[in-house]
Amino acid sequence: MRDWKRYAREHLPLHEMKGGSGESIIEEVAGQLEDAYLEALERGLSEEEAYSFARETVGDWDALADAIVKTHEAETISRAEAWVERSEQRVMAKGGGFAWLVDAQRDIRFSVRALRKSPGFAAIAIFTLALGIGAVTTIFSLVDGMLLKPLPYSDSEELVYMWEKLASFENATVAYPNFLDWRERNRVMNDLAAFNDGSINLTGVGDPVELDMVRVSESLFPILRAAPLLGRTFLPEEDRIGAQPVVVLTYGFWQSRLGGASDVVGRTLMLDDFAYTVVGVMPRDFVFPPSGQHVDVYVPIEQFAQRWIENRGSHPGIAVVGRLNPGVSVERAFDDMERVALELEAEYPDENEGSRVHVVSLHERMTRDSRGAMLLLLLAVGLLLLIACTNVAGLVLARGSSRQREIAIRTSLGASGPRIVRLLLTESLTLWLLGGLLGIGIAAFAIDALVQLRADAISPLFQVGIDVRVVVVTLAVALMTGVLFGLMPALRSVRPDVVESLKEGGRTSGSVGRNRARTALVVAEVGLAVALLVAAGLTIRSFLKMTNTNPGFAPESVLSVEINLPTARYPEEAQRTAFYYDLLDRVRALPGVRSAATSYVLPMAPGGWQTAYHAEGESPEEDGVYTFAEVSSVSADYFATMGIPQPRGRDFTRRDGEPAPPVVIIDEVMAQRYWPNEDPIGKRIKFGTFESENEWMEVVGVAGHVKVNGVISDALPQFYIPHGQHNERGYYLVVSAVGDPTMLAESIRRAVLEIDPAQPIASVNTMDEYVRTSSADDEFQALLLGIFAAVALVLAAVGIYGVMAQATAERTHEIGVRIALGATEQEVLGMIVRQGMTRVAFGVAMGLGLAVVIGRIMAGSLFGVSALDPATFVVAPLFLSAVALAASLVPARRAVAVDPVRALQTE
Amino acid sequence: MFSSQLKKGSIELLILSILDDQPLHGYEIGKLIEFRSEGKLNFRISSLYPVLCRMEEKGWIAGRWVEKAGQRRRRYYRLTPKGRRALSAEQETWVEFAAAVNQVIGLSHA
Repeated sequence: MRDWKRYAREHLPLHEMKGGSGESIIEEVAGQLEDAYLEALERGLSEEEAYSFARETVGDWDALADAIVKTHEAETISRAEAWVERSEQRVMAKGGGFAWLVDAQRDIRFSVRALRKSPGFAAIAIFTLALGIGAVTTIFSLVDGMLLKPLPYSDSEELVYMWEKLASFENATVAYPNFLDWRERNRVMNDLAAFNDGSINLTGVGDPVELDMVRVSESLFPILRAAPLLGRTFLPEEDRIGAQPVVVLTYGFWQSRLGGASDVVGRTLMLDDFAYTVVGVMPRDFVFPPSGQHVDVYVPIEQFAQRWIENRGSHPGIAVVGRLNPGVSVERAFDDMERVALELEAEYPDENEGSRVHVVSLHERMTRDSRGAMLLLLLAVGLLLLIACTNVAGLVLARGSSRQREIAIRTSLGASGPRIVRLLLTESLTLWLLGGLLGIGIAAFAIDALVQLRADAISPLFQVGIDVRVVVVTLAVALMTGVLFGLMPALRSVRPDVVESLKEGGRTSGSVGRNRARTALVVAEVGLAVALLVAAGLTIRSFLKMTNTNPGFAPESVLSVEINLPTARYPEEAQRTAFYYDLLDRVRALPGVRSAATSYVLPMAPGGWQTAYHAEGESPEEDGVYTFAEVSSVSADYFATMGIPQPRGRDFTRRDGEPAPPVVIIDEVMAQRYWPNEDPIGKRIKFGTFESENEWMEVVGVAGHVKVNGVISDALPQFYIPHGQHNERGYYLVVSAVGDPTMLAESIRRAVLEIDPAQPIASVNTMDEYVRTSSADDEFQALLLGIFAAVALVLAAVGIYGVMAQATAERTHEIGVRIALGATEQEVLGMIVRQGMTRVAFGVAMGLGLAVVIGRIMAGSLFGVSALDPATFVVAPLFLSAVALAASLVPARRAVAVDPVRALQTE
Repeated sequence: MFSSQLKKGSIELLILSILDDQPLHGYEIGKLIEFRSEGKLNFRISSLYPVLCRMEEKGWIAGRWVEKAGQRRRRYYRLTPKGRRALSAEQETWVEFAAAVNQVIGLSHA
């Protein structure tokens, strides 16, 4: 017995048909063959004759297979169309306005089914889109949380932030008497509140500890409309010099230090050796100051104002918040404060000459530093998304050409052009939506990672994360780009002639239109990638420049510790100096300590001291424009400990004390400015202006210039005065260690407690850490842009490869002809690569144009790198071109390797 | 005997007519057409089978696998109500068409 089934299966290539229908058809055909065979045998033919008789009953196997497949496809499609029609009619019959929704749902179900038929294509497309959309979602949720959402204070748009502008200082903190006058004289604000931060030592609750404190006007809480969780906030009469000390606790401090005791209100806390009565506890989600810095306690500011209240020339780190009257714009508030400032200038010409007020919305003030960076990142992920979309559009287009037969069949079955476009578009949109959903998943992880990475820099006031807004925007972006990028391949697919595609053996010749679409894709992709690569290159170069720039000191192996002596226990300067000198002696004797010193301010650490000064021999200052410098009060060994070079003169010693003549060490910038060709040793400067009566200080040494505020900012000239001649209550202790500096923290703490068992230490940090923090924003930016650029590069390479491979494959026949006609492999290779690289060249040109625009946007945030940095502008496109060349060489090589005979046979 | 174009144009009507009496499997359909036409009309599987598929898809005929004792299973086709309507319509068309052709070529006595 012959195996007719096997015979039929071998002749009917129906294995691609789904649902086992191919097998059923084979069985049926085999049955008929067998019938014919058996009949022939019955008629008396030999087995051999019967066999050939049976075979002849079939006729043309290929035509049979083709006809079956075609009928089957048409059957599936038309069944689906019938179902569509029926459900459409059902929906219409119900007359619901949701017809389109049902429609869309059905189209999507269709698309999902179609995509499942080619899982490889679907997976690559969805993943590519998820990368692009996920990146956009991540950055958008940052932008949304930080720039777009209102701050979580009630009616937060009425809140403004104010600080002073001095004749010689663009940004100055507020003099307390000025604040009092602003509060009194303005006509646009409901109320104003001043605040500044400091530290205060807590004793009597466990180990002594330094608390982070914010001094605030009693009006602050009403302005923010913030109610306490327990107790009350401050009363106006408590915000006065000499009033009863009271304190409001943050939720965190109440929980961590006081165990969340419910009877905390009314208790007293020993703060800097004064008994403070706890009057209230703020709720957990209360954040102030808006920067989100750590706070333990709030105290009324005016209780601390003895030194400021009569001194309009003192600007003790105060900033002011206010609530505008309803309907008042920030501009009007600014105008009104200008009026107030002019009045005050007229009344107090000595201190207020040229003094004005900055008024900006609180939200703007909080976001102005990150705004540029955020928008650049958003731009970068926008480019990345476009690249991803371009890639997928290329994939869809390539798939479209292999689906032309299906489309032609649909058309021949009466599906209209718009109907097919809609189906294909839905298929694209389904890809994009799935990509979007996966992207949101990716973003959820990425956002967590980013927020963790920047936990100290992102205020808790900003609610960064995936919420309904972010999801809605993401899906909107997905749909928009889906329509935009899905429409082109969809429209391109219905264009080709129906008859042409249905013709058997119809060779898919690269139509001019499809070629043009492909060229556009490559050009766009290369262009976008070049732009992104340049942006990332500039940022990374800028960051590297920054980290490679000498900050003017050697932060390695230096530990810093902050110590603030409470005035209650150390009322006299001599006591404080004695404490620090004693501490220095003890610390210098510790094993592992190379040297130790004290300094009032540290480069790149929080805090700072800027002052007007006058160099002897200079002309008097005019129009309130003073000369400013950075100052610190330092002990002996400071320069050695910090690794600051000291090219001339001597160091301070303990002999530079109160009775000794005032001395100063200046930096090279100041030396160069006033005594460029002379020895500055022996010259004199003084605090204040030409007219001020401060004592002259004699220059005894010159130190190297230090980048005090991070390497980006151009620092003012600097001078140092000896610890013994200027005494503050709080100092940093800096220690240069032989090994790991952090190992010293504990022994330093013990040394402090040996001198004063009630004295805590705070802010234990290495100088390395301060340096790193100062460039953390830029590192973050460089890291993100670097990642985006790398992803863009991979996507672009894959995209270019895909397009080139498809284009080359379609030209196999032509290439065969050329080779058959005598073209050498080199010539053909050159032709293909040339064609690919011409597109790349156009893309590079477009990308460089785009990059110039982006560079201009970035210019402000670049350090040591021009926005048109030649290296970046040359390397980035070269790099991309090399990748593109590799991507087009692979398919080109494959094409020329094809045997011309076989290539011609593919017809 | 007849050109394939001529045969193609009538094959659906032939199948509908054959199946009008009884359900048949594929091989029988071909055989019966050949038998009734006294061998003048015969179709190969490659021409007949796709037509069966198409007609089934149009809902004119319905196929069903039938197993009889001692035989391998076969797929039997029968006329559906829709097929029956199609048959009478096709018959009418055919008669009209034939009449018209006869009239034109001068074989008609009308």
